[in-house]
Amino acid sequence: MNEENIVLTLNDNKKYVLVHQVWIDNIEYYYLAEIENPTNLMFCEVNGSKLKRVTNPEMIQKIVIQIGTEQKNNSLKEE
Amino acid sequence: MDKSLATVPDWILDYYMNERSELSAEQIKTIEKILMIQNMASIIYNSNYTTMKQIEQSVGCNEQVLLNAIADSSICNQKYEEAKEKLSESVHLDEASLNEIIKIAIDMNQEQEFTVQSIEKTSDQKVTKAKRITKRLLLLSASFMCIGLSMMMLGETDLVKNIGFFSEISGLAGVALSGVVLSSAVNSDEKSPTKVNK
Repeated sequence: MNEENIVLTLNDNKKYVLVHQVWIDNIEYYYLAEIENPTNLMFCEVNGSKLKRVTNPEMIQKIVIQIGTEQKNNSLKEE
Repeated sequence: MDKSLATVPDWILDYYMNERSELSAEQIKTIEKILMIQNMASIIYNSNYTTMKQIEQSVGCNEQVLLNAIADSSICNQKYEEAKEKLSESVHLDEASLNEIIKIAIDMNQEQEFTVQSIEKTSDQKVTKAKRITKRLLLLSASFMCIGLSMMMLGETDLVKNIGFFSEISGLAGVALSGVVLSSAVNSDEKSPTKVNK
């Protein structure tokens, strides 16, 4: 069965696949990759339909580690 | 010796530590970015991706050109073409890799806000592939955050401790690495290890 993915179209007229979403300190974050140019990656803070790109390196670290941990846990469950 | 340690020129660290008072905030930021690029290059080198040969040459970095690049602060001023030209002389990457590195470094410092126009669900294989590769590389970038450890192995414990260098660089580099390695993976049409669907 094919995997179903969520695709967001943003106001830059580009489509991004939602790679992962995490909650940290009651704030939701998306990890997005542009579909046509997957080297364009970004972490965004979610506020309704508004997305703010995260640029604070410490916050990025937190998000990356959180996502990495969740992915690792999911992989262990799948095994 | 781990190759990742060989690509951070000592002179940059010395300059950064000893001449710090003479540097502007922009210049300091630029040095940090150059260190980030050097480290990214070394990690990719060790990862055996397609840009390996070009990155290997970056070890022999032209110091004067790099100093000029720092003085010019082109990266911080977001003069994309100038930064590319100067860095191409000092960090011998192919143009595509260089573009990616600079673009990511610049993008990382830009505040950007977006609005979601629409949300859809899709089973498109292209989307699935992009997502899977990106997920794998995120794990890699998480590993890359041990860059601070590399700095300490260089004997720069004080540097790491005193200037908060680790958090600044590793955060940026972690994400930037994803982009650069992803580019290699996509361009090489999945030469990286691929999980086989059962």
